[in-house]
Amino acid sequence: MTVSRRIFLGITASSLASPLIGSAAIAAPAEKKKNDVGNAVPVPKDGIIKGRVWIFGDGIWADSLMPAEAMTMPLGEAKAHCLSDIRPGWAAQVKKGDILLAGKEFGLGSARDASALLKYMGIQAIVAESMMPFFVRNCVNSGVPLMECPNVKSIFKEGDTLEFNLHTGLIKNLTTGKQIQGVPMPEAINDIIIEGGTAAVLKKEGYT
Amino acid sequence: MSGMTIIEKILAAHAGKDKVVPSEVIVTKFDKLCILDANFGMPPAFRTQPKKIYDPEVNVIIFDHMVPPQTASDADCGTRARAYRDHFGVKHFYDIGRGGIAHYVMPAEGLALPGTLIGNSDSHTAGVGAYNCGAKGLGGGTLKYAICKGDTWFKVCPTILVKFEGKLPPNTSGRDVFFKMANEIGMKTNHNFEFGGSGLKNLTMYDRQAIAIQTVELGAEFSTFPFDEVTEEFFKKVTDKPLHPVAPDPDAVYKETYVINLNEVEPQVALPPKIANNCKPARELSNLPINQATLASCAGSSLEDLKRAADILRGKHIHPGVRMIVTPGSVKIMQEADEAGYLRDLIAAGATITSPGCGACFGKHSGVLGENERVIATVTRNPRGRLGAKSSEVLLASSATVAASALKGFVTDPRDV
Repeated sequence: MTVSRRIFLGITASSLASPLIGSAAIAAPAEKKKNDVGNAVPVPKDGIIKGRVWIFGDGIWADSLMPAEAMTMPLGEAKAHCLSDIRPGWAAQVKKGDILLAGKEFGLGSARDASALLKYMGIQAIVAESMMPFFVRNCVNSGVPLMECPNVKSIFKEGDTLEFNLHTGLIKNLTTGKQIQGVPMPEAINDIIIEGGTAAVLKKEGYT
Repeated sequence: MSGMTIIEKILAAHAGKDKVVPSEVIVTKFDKLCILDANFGMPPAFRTQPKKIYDPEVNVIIFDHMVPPQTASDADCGTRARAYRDHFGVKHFYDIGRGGIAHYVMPAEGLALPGTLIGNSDSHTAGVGAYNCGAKGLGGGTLKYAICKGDTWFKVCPTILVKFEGKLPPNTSGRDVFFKMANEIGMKTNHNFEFGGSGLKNLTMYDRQAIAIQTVELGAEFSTFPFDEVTEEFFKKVTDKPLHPVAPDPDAVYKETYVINLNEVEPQVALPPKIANNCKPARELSNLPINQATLASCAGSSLEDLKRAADILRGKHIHPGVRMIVTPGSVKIMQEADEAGYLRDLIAAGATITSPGCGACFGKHSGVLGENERVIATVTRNPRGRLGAKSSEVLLASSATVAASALKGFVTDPRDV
């Protein structure tokens, strides 16, 4: 009787011997794919970044970039949710090395790190007419090159090839030949980005 | 040489400098860094444990975003948090049922003291500056860096001074003050807010916290209140430790100064998708029906918020077409509300009480909305779909306005019930 009930519950001799259930401390669930970087592109050491542009509007919320339901998902699962309210199916169309070009106040609201998700999806850099401070900070952490430039959208249409220089702030439309001057970040911050972000700094120094 | 604002003084002290000025990039240390349950799930943050950290004494771990867990993977965040605590010997640890929203717990537990600098991944952390400390939301990546290395960089922002005069009329509170500010001041990305004026003494700590938390929605970097008798009274009950309040220098430089007359504050509602310059008097919106009324968040589920709602709903029943969800901000607030009878009043009126924490405020659980529904809530932000389905709508209001609306079934000024 006792034996058959145990079999019914699926408890085997080996699982009964396991110290897991009932012990005070439960081991933290292990991460299976520690080095899953997805389509992430390393930051070019010369700070010159080139890619095909995707164009988005003003006031994109962090909530759209990384919706609540995706917040604690592994990035591989979370990516399908990125901007799905504004452009359903976009995540599947992103190619490795693309650049996201947005309007004003990009990354409104939450401090959740959507830059790491965009990087994982293959977005190589973000160029926007203006960016919210939390998003800027997250880009520096994740090692995502960024450039703010008022009116930058006026010289691009979707699919054009954009090139910018992280150090000088010069932005070129390689498809049309037009160019516009952006506002570069302080060099100390650009150095962190080129290094791969504060995440890479922590790794290099043996913290992670 | 000109003087410094409150936050400039706190930042200078934590950067080991005599003076800081706007647009300077500085590196500061922290007194406390708060890791949240959600940080143990977000891939860039603490999903994997660091090999070494700067100082476990600086660490505070608080469960607030996913309490209790809705999914097995959220429960794993808790398991990782407890393993982190055990590994590094973190003393300041607030598990489910022991804490609540970090921004209520930190000051109430004496972990955010006047003059200190605290960090937390959550974007609304700046509002803890109501307690005369420097407080900053860092995001998970910077939080991890600061936990490991002990410091991070800031670009010092210019400070805006908001002076309060007069006294709040009945049925209004800190959230209504903020809505007035949001209309008159608008977006101020990359600025600090500091508060002052003769009306300050008429604002409670919870009013101050609601105001400071919400300034994040105007783009605030830091948001800091001075230390006065109201702050002193709060900390008397919290700690015996000597306090180190910080006052602005008499010749501190402010980029702009605004005066808000508290006598003129009235119940207001912020419309979606953004608060700045988008608030209207509740009386002008009484044609808007609601499906849900929610009391939750670090800026709207204090003991005073629960009291205001209970005062309006006591002995009455909420509208049959509305469900009301009350998420007390912390376990302590829930206990106090229980002892005062507010919870009983709310439950008798038809409201349901959920686990203390962030609740539905970030749209993951504890009362999210279906397609095309409308909620009136004391939550912190209102982009379309913030509290659930993409087509759902969030109206922001004070706890009194939320309770009055729950009673009537449409947006209602609490003076009209």
